Amino acid sequence: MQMVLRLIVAIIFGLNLGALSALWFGGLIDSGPKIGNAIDADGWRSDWSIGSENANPYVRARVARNGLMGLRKEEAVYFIKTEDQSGTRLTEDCDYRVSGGAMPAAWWSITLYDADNRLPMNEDAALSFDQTKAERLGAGGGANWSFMISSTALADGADPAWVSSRAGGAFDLTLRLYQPSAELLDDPVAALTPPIIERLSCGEGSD
Amino acid sequence: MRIILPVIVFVFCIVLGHSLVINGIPGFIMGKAHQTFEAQGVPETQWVGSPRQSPQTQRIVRPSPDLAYAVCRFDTTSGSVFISAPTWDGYGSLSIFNDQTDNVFVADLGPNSDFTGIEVRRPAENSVQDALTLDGRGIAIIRRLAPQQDTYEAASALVAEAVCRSIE
Repeated sequence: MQMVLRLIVAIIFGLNLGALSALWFGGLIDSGPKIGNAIDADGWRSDWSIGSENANPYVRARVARNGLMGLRKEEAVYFIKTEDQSGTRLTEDCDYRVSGGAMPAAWWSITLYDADNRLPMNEDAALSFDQTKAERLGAGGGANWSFMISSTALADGADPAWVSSRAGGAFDLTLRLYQPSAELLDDPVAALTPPIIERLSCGEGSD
Repeated sequence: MRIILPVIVFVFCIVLGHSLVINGIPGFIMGKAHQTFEAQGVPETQWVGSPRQSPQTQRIVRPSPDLAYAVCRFDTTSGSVFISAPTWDGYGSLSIFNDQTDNVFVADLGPNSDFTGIEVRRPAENSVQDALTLDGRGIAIIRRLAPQQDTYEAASALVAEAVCRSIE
């Protein structure tokens, strides 16, 4: 009888522990462990198996939770960065300058998301910066570009070189590269000159 | 034996529970996506354009505010499906996802594309060359680069010309 009870307890606790660990690895409990770290270009992290039938169950689960219906790498690749150049977590309490140059893709964009993988709940209409805006500001033909991130508009709300972090909390930036070059797919760290995120200043009480 | 057997069963159950749940998450979340689209009035085998993505209109995680989206849900258990969309001047793609979140098909909708459409069939029925094999439910998504209101409206106008229909 004691053996039967022990087995029942082992089954119940074993199944529950296994299920909970899977939910944590899958990002459904807390944020889970980091994945998508197969490629790391100066802190911009990605995983080429996103969208692929060859993705392992952990990547597949995390993508289903955090980036459902992402395209496979031949069509688009996604890089996410959560820290500035000094390694400090990005937060709406600070202002940043993001700068870069030509990207190895047909078109690119950088979008700000909050910790819940959502566009931040503000009405600033300044959610992203992209190649079209860079070219409009004179950064055609691979010239350098830059834009500001802050929780308040630097000039006016229509400034194309401003992305609002208002209500973003601890946010991240997603770099999307559509129709990436073969060189990028072959050797992303060598082919990509990743955007630089400089922290300019922070509000009272923040680092 | 009094301890060893329960320990072996405990470890086996951890592995079993972990494996069942981690492999079930994509299908579960894709099922929820189908339910969400259905609740939002997206019927099967019909393209429906999404509103311009903003904090107030976002319905999926990490939407791109620079793209105009359209969605078509389908289920090959009800029969084969033909899917197409017109090309246009800017970046665009038509992608198809199976019920495990895999991106099983992508077509370029840019100006140099010769894409005319794709048949999606169940494995047992797939004797047609160039047809896509997909068993069960799927979601097709059109993405068009539309960072401005005028390009978004132009992209939205093309949704009516896209096709997502059952094949008799």
